[in-house]
Amino acid sequence: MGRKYLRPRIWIYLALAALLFALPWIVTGRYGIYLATMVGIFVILVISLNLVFGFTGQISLAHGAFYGIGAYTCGILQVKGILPFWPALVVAILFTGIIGILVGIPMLRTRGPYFAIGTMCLGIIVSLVLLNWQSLTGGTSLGGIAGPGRMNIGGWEIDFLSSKTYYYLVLIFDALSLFLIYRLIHSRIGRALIAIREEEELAESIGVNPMKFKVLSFGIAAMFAGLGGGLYAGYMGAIDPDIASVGTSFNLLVMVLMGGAGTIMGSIVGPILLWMIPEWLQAAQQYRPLIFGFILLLIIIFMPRGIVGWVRGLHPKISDWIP
Amino acid sequence: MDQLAQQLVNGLITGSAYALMALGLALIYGIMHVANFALGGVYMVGAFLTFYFVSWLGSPFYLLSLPLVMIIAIGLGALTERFAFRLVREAPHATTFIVALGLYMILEGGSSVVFGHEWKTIPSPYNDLVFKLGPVSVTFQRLLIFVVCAVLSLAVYVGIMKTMTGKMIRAASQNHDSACLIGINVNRMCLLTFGLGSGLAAAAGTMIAPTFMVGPAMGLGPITKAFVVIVLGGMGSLQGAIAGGFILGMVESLGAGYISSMYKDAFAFGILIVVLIFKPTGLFQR
Amino acid sequence: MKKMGWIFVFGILLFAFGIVPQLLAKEKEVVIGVIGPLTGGAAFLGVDALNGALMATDEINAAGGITIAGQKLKIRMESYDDEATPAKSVAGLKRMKDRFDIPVVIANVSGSAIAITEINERMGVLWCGFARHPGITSRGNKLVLRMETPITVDTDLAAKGAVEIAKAKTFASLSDTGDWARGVHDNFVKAMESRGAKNLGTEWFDMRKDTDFRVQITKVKGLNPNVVKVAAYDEASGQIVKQCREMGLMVPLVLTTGFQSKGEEIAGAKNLEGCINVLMPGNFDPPPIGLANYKANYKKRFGGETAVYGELVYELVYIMARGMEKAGNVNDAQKIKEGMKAAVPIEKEHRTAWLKGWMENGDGILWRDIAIYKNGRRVLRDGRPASPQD
Repeated sequence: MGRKYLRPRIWIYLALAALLFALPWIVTGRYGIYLATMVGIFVILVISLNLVFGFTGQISLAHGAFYGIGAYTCGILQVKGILPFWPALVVAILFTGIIGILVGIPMLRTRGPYFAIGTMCLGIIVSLVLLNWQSLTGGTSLGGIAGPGRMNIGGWEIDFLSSKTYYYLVLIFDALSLFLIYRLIHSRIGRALIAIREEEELAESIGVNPMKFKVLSFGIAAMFAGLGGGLYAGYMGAIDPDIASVGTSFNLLVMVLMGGAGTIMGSIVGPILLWMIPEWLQAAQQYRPLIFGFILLLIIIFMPRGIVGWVRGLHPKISDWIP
Repeated sequence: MDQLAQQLVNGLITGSAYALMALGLALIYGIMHVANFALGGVYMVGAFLTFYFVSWLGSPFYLLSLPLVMIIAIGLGALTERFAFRLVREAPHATTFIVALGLYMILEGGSSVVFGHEWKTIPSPYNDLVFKLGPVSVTFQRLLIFVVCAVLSLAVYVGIMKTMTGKMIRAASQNHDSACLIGINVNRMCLLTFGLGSGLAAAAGTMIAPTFMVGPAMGLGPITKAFVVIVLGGMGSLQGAIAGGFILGMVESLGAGYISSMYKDAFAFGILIVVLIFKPTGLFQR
Repeated sequence: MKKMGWIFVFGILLFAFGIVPQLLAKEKEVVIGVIGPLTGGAAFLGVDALNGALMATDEINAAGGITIAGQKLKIRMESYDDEATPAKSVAGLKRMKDRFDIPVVIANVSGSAIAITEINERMGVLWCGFARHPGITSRGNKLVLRMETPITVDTDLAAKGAVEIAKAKTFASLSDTGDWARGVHDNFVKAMESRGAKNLGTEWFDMRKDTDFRVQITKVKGLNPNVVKVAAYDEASGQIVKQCREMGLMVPLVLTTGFQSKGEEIAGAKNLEGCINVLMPGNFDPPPIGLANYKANYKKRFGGETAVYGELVYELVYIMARGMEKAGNVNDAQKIKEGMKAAVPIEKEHRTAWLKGWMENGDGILWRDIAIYKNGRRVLRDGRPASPQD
């Protein structure tokens, strides 16, 4: 069982990692790298939403709001000259996590559609506040976010304004996030959460406090969303309240389900599709939203477990290969 | 003080608009357990059809468009059931929601192709007729919204609770297999439910559109509020949808009038969160 | 069978990042990027703006294109639908720079423009457009040319009119919550307060969702102001004027550049008498020839009425073409910018916006004056209709 079984899988992972690291040389041009970086940021968002979905069994429509809070925290701290990028990013992550816990405590007492709509309302309120509190957020647009800029690490000059460099930054955070979430799933916390999801009363009876774990996982997911937001702010240099809107949350949900809920590969495929399909359809001009709607409908009807879910279902051995 | 009366009346009328929107959604969710986001698109289609009817026939015939639009919408709803929702009947909730989202995009995208991107206005003859009852003034159009909402709600309630077809629909919603066993055509009941729900949404579009501007994206706000309404009232409850609609309308109106008109929407969504904190399954659960 | 899944995923990744080589025909043409919302709620703005650009492009090409160093070049507009999302606007900019090496990008929505102007200097692309956000020209960006005055110019004129003509000492406002109206409102308040007028309050609405503003009007009426500022687009403003008069609010109303012929029709001449607005070339009597031609040709080609968005972009494209010829260059954004500055004002036949020139920071200087309404039309404060000067 042991090593023989693991070896081919590791080679596949290594090949994938090599491909991702070599990407800027395969895909030349700012456009491709920009899209790859955006996909990378959204992978962090989608995988953390998958965490909530997988662990609490609920659809959260507040994830876009956490993303926005992270972006604005990081952005405002820089624009007001309070903190440079890196500490601002850390603060953004922690602050979003705290908000996530505060939101989770009341919200996670509700179930199913109540939870979904409740989190949706929170998302709407967040984007309303971001838009209307002009003195804090600059209203419709907050520009002039410095981002990580140029850094000097031990004699090496790193210019984060270069697209390639930022891509690697996001890639590193992606790897970090995937690693952390993987460890979380396979830790005691992860096992407790799965127990809660499967059979809540039984879990309670062996001394697991469901609310505590659910809120914790919700807060952790929010932290990742905040990370994604901060990275976005540093990359774009300018942000707007729409990024926190319900539309973003819907997009994230579509990414989760199109890719494959609860799968790691699905968290990568989902963002790729949702970013690339509109780009491919640019030529379709005003028919684009219509065609996109059809594509979405077809994919979700014929592959209800997402593309990765469908691929995994093709043959039992494939599930071993694709996480 | 007379401002209070005006605000209350406004709240009542806005509330009836929300209730009308939410009625179709509540019907479909209550019976089929599908969160049909596509109703936002049907609402918009209803408004556009009304626009074209009125342009074609002339504005005095505005009210005639209501039954015509509803019939078309019932057909549209049945189509969505047959070719989309039926295929995912056994799928988890998240999947059916995405199906509804996809249908909404198709409706919005399709209508922007067919009707263009310009926002249009429907010249209803009732928009300028203003009634003054003491300190309160209200347009006839808005009174019509209230009346139509009341009539339709009553009709739907009676239809679902008292008629044979209504009972068959409710039986089918409780258990497909048992319903089949006693001879109920489950597929037909599903078609009917989706059709009726869509008809109600389109009716909302017809009645409310003359007070708004008509455009492909007009359904997004109303359907979002409609979801809030049915959660507020307790999902699946028709009475809850109606009560929830009025409560939402009131809260929004009074909040905008007395606290801040800038954050008007925030009150509507905020009240839901407050309710969910104290009653996680809504005000009137089934 | 095992490999299939991976090949599938691999294929997606490859295709996704455009490994399929782009075969571009190198033609003798200059490609200009137009980025804006062509679908969605803001499409009315993006589509009209693009149409204006297309009309100008076709006319210029039909007349032989632009001549650089003896060679005739055609212009081509490449459009990208960003659905008014800044992240997509930036994607569009990068895509077009990669594929077509565009020297100029036209983006008219403020959020998109702000995001684009964070990076356009590094990319060597000149930004043009009529987005009103003050941040576009206030961050020291050297490659911006705004095809509009800063909002403060319009609001200052409006405030001047309110204080000098209507003798206002107090004022209240009815404003849409959208970012354009909010900008107009906030700057108007500042301009009025700097002239010593007192702000009694503001009532807000969403002009996309309401056509009945009686509640807000009731509250404003209760404040008893000397004038009322109405900050909204065309039809909404028209409805407000009408409903104000119906509810007995008779003081002069101060309107905005967004208020145009459709709204004026809805409001009715009687209700507008004595109201104040900003005078634009579109209000000239007789109408300027460039605008008249544009409207007629637009109707022929696209059907439907024009809106101010296309008018602004139409003249912008002409200025751009003349500017490139003057600079003798179609690749260097900085040189094109200098050429464009030297090329204004352009010939009368194609003047639809009446741009006089640009300020140092890139803000446009357009023809504007205070107007009052007489018999439903905008005239100068002494009662004369405005007419084309030069």
